[in-house]
Amino acid sequence: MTEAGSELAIAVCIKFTVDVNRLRPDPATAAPDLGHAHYRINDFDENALEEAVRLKERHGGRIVGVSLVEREPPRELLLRALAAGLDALYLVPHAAAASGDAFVTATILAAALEEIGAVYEMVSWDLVLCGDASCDTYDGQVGPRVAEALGIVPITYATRLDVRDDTIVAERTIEDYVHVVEATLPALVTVGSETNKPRLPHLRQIMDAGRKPIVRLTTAGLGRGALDRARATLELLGVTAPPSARRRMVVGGNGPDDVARKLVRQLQSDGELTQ
Amino acid sequence: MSGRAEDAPSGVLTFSENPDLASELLAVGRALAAGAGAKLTTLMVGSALRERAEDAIARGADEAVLACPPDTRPGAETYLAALHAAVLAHRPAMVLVGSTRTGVEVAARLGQRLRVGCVTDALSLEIDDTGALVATRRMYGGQFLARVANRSTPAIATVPWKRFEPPPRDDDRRGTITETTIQLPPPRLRTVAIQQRPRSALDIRKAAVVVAVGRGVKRQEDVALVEALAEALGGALAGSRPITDDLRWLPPDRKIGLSGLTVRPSLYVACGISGQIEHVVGMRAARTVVAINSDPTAPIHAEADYSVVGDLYAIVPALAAALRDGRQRQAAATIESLQ
Ligand SMILES: Cc1cc2nc3c(=O)[nH]c(=O)nc-3n(C[C@H](O)[C@H](O)[C@H](O)COP(=O)(O)OP(=O)(O)OC[C@H]3O[C@@H](n4cnc5c(N)ncnc54)[C@H](O)[C@@H]3O)c2cc1C
Repeated sequence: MTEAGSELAIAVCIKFTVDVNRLRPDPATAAPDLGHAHYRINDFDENALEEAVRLKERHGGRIVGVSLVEREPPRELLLRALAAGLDALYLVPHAAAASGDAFVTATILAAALEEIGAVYEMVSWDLVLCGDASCDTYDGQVGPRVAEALGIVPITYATRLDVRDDTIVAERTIEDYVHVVEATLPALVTVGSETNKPRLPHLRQIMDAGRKPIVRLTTAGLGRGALDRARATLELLGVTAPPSARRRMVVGGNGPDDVARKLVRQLQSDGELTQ
Repeated sequence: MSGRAEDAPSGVLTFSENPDLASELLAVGRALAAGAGAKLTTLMVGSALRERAEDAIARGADEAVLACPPDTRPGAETYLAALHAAVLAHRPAMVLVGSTRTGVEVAARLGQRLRVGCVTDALSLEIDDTGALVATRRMYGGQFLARVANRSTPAIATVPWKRFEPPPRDDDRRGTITETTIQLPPPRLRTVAIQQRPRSALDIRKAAVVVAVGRGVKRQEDVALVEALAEALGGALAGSRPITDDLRWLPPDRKIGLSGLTVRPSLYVACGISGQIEHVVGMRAARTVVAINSDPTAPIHAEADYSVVGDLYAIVPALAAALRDGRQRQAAATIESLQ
């Protein structure tokens, strides 16, 4: 815990990902056209950030963002993360950041969290918040792996959480069940879209964002150890879009009833209305 | 029998806390172990597992390891301790875990403890000529398929539900059943309560016709319009994520998409669904797709065989009426033909 004993030291892991809904296959190769990709803050990380802000509003404290980046993300995204409520943002450049190798990502993130806590922020983290998964790989490994690397308890798929003194109480959604758990801090919690609805920042927050610190760490600063320990475990052999064979016919007509009749006739002739 | 330290890691170890998925893993495990000329071991955690162990052997396991926790404490921590112990004792070349939420957490944490890679949600798995475990999995919301080689020892992969059929029983197969106890650290996560979320009686994956409702529906009571269409088609009602998760107008097991279920009906009708990729991956395998959406630029139209660009509040009831009408006329014709 931080000095006051009740304020929270919160770290939020943030991934700047490609916007998967605006990513198109290259017509020639069917590989993703990453050269024209748009970037965004990973959806679930926005939920993690929002949850951190809500906890800070109740308990006080400080929120820092930590992101492993292959290259510098667009400045507007950095400002957006700061405007949403980060007090500082730490960027850790690493060539394998986009490789989707969760072992590498988690090992370096954990080393960065330790370094940032000990050297820059002089705290030990009460809470580390992550998204359940990132929208590009939808892998779900980084949160639990970081918890394991830091030796703290993971609380995955949390849909509601609260902190009372040094205890965290969380509702988790596990398939058909709601699992209510508690643990003593520190803990790592992963959240998703069910957890909250991220608020849009006020003008004031947007203006303040430009004055908040963005700290660029180097992986060398994390010590050779972290890098040596984070050798690649996976190799991406290829990524392609399977072809779509839809007919893409627009059914038009003279008002809803006419359209409906035409559609029913079409489905009948296709043999789709057997029952 | 445990592998000895001087042997190179070999064989396949499987685990899922979900009994159905545990049986399905035996199908993949058997195929991979056959390729590697090696042993298939399956781990079960809990008590009174004898019958399930015998079933696993009949379905292809060479050995079933039954790990009994000191108290009946289920959950990720217990499964992780048991799986970690089994990996150390049996030294498998590959570990397969069922892709439940708990399973993915366990697999990821095991990977971090062992400093190895894990491929989650593998749609297919094979061993290439270098001996690496090669998986196909979805990428970028599912629009793309990635081939990923896991060269770790052991190589971990998680396998989703209902992807593989459990192997048929062969009651002549023989295998070993080993019982072990596991040591657990004091629990860091304390369970306060477990509640079941509402469940539907019907499995939308088994329906020949699926009608899905999206955020284009404005009020909860209007879901009934789409439900009436599902009824007219003799199909099942499903939904997009906002409907099941955010608004909770349908139970979670009616969600179609990346974080929900994958369906393969012969007919899929999307009503007021934009067609974001995370939804589309769950319905792409449908034989025929109809989209009803008022926005001509909505991506769902590109995923459809037949698109209606229009207000679902007008189209959906008209379609339901046309179907009922058609069926009545057909019934009348049938009766006439019999007279
Ligand atoms: C990691 C991750 C996992 C996800 N998993 C899933 C998943 O499993 N399943 C899933 O569905 N989503 C999933 N999503 C969410 C997904 O990205 C979309 O947000 C969601 O599918 C949108 O749902 P929708 O189409 O119902 O709503 P919207 O995107 O809001 O679309 C509503 C549509 O209705 C149309 N409309 C509005 N009014 C009318 C009208 N009167 N008549 C006709 N049309 C109308 C609009 O034109 C619009 O296209 C996931 C997202 C992420 C990031």
